[in-house]
Amino acid sequence: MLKVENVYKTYNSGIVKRRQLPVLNDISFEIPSGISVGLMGDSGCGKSTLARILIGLLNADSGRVIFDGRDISELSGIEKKKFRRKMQIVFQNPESSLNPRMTILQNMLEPMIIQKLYSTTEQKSIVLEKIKTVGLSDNLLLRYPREISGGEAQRIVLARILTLNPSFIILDEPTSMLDMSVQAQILDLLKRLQAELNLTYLLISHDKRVVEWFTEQTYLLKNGTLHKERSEKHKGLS
Amino acid sequence: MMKLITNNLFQTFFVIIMAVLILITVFAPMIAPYDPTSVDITASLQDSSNEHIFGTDKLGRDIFSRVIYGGRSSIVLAIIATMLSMLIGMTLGIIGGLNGGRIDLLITGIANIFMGLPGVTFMIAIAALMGTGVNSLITALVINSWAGVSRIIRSKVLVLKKENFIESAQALGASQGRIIIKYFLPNLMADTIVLFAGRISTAILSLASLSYLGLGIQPPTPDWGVMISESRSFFRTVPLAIMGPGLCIVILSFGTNSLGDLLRQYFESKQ
Amino acid sequence: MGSDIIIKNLNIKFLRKDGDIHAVKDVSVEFKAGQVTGIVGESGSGKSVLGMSILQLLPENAEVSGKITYSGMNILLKNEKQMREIRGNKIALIPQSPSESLNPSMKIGNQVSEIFRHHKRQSRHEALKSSECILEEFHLLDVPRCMSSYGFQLSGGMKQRVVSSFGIAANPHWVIADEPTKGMDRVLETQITEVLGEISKRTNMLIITHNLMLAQELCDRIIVMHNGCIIEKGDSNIFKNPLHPYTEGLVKSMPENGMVPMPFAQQKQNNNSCGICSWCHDKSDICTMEKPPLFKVAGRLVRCFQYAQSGKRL
Repeated sequence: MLKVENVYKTYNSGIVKRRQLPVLNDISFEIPSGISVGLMGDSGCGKSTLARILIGLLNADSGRVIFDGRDISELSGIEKKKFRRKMQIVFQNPESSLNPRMTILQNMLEPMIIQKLYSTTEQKSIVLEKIKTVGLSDNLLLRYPREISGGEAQRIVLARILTLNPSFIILDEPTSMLDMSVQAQILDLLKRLQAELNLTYLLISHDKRVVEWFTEQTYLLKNGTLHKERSEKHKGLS
Repeated sequence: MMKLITNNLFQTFFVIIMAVLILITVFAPMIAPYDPTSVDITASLQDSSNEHIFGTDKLGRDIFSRVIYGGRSSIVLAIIATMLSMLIGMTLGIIGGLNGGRIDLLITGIANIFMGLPGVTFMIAIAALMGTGVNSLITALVINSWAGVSRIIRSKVLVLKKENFIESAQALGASQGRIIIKYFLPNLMADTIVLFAGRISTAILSLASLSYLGLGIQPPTPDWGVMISESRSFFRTVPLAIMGPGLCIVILSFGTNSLGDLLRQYFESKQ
Repeated sequence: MGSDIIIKNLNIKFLRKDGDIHAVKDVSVEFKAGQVTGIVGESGSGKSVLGMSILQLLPENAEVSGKITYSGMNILLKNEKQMREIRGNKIALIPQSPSESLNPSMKIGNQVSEIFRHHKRQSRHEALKSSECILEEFHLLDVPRCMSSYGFQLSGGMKQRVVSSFGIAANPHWVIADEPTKGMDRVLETQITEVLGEISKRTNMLIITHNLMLAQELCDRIIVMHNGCIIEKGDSNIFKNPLHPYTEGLVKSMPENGMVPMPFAQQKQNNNSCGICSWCHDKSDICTMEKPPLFKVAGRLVRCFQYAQSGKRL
C-alpha cells in the first residue's frame, strides 16, 4: 500500500554560515495493506520527520513516496486533497491537536467540511456515529478542547479522522502523554477498528513493549538509516 | 469576572471614568452649554463661574464646551489610525510568520527600520511634508505604530504554526486561506484585542502631542492638544484651560491602557 | 528526619459555573517519615490535587476542608507567609513539566543558587559552590557548562534533573515528586528513577505517579486512588497481588502484562455506588447501591465489598 524509495532529508540551519543536519539517509521500506508496522528510534532521530514526509506535510530532498501506486509528489492539487482522505495522522499531544477556539463538534465536522463530503445533516449524523465508535458520549460535543481529558481528546482526534474513512493512519507516539491504563484502552480501540475497517497503521513509539504488542513488523531508525528489527506473521486479535 | 474587577480596582475605576468621558463627548451637542467656537471677547479670560463652569479662554469661548467637543476628533482619529496600523501590522506579521524564509526576512527588516524611527520627530517630519490635517496625522500615527504590531503578531504566528492543530488541518487538506481564517485568526483574537486597546492609548497621546505642536487639528476646531497649546499664556488666570483637556487626555489614555490590561488578564484566565 | 504528614477527612472541591468537581472525597491517610509513599492513579483520580494541597498550591477556585497535620500543626490553617517558609524548606516539590518550572531568562547556575541563598542564607560564592555540588550529585554531565546554560539549551532529561535538584537543595524533610516521569522515554525514565532513589535515601518522599513500575520500585507504601477516593492501600507488593478489581485492572493494562484495557469510564459517577461497578466482574447487588467503605484485610486496606466478610470494616 505504501512504498518508500530512497528518501533523503537534510535540515539546513543558519543563514550566514549554512550548517547541514542530515536526518534521513536513503530510507526505503514497504508497508503492505492491513497490517501494523512499528517505527522506533531515539528522540529527535527523525521519526516524526519521516512521518510528515509520508503524509505530505514536508517534502523530501530526494526519493519517492508511493501510496496506492501513485507518487505523492506527482499528484495534482485535487488529487492530493483526495489522497488526504485515505491517509491520516494522529499526533502525540492530544491537547494541541484540536483547534482550541472551536467546539468538539466543530472540530469533528472540519474534515468533512474541508473535504466537501456529505450534506450538513449527513455530516452531523456521521459525527454522532463516530463519537460512539470511540466510546464517548455526545454531551462532549458542545465542550471545548481544554475541557476534556487527554485520553478523550485523543479519541476525538481518532473519531474525526474516521469520518473520512481513511485506509492508512500514521500514529505518531499517540499514547506517550497518556496514562498507561488509557494507553491500553486506546491501543485496544485501534486494534478493534483495524479489524472492523481494514486499516493499515504505522505506529511510531519509543516504547518497545508497546510496539511489540501492537505491530507485526518493526523498523529502527538509527543515525538516519532504517534497520528492520523483526517481522512476524499477521497477528490475530488478542 | 467579579474577581477580575476586585483584583484591579484601580484600573476598573479608570475604565469606568473613561467610559463616562466618552459618553459625554458622544452626546456633546446635548450636554455642552455653549457652541465651542462662538467667540465673545467681552467674556474673555474669566475664571470658573456659574455661567462658565471651567471659565473662558482668550477669545471668550467656553472652556467646558470646548473640552467636551474636543474629545471627539481625538477619539475618532485615534481609533481610525489604530485600526489601520493594526490591519497593516497584522497582515504583514501573518504573511511573514507563515511564509518564513526570505519574505519573513524582508518584512522583519522593514519593520525593524520603522521601529527604529524616532517617533515624534518622524511624525513632525511627515506633517511638514504632507501639510497639516487629518490625512497627515493618520499617516504619521500609522507609520509609527504598525511595525510593533507586526512583530508581536508574527511571533505569535510562529508559535501557533508549530501547534499540532495547524498541522492537522493541513493534513486534512485545508487550504491556506481556511487555515488563516479559521485557525490562526481566532487564536490571535485575544492578542489582537489587547494590542488594540494598548495602541489606542499611545495614539491618543501622540495625537495630543502633534496637535500641541500645531501639526494636527487646526483651530478653531476644539481639540485637547490645541487647547493646551493655546492656554500656555493664560493658564495662571484660568488654570482649568490646561487642566481640563490635560486631565481628559490622561483619563482616555490611561483608561484604554487599563482596559487592555483587564482584557489581557481576562483572556489569560480563560487558558 | 522530620515528622509524619497526617491527612484527616480531606475534601477538595473545585467550584465551577457548570458544576463543581469533587476532586478529593473524604480522604484520611498518614504519610510516615522514613518511608517512601506512592500515590498511584489515573489522571483525574485526585492524586495530584491531594499532593498539591499539602503545600497549599491549589488554584483559587479550590474549596478545601479537613486537616493536614505536620510537625504538630495544621498546615491548612497557615497563611501564605507561613507557607513560604515551609515550601522548599521543610516540604519541597518536584513538579511536573520541568521545562515550565525553569525561568527561561536566568542561567541554571543562578536559579539553583537562588535556593541556597534564600533558604540557607548562603553568600553568592557559597551558593554557587553548593549548586555545583548538587548538580554533580544528580549526575549532570559537564556541570560548569550546565551552570552557565539557559533552560532551553538543556535536554528534557537534564531539565528534569535540574528541577529535581531544586527540590532537595534546601535539604527539606519531605519531597513531593509530582509525576516525575510523565511523557518520558524508557532511557530517561531509568535515569530519573535512579535519581529519585537517591533522593529517597536523604529525605522522606511522596511520589505521585501513574507509572506502576516506578511506584513498585521506589515505594515502601502505595496508595491507589480512583475518582477522589483511596481504593487500596498496601506495601510494594500491591501490584504483584492486587486485591481491588481496579488495581488489578491497572496492572493488567501494562504492556508487560498484555495491555488488557479496562472498559471506558462512564461519564457521571455518583456517590451511591462503587466507582467501577459498571464493568466489574465480581460485582454483587450491594455494589450498585452503596459506596463501599474501606476494609482491612491481609495487611491492606481495600474499598471493596468482596472483603466484607473476610476483612474488618473501618
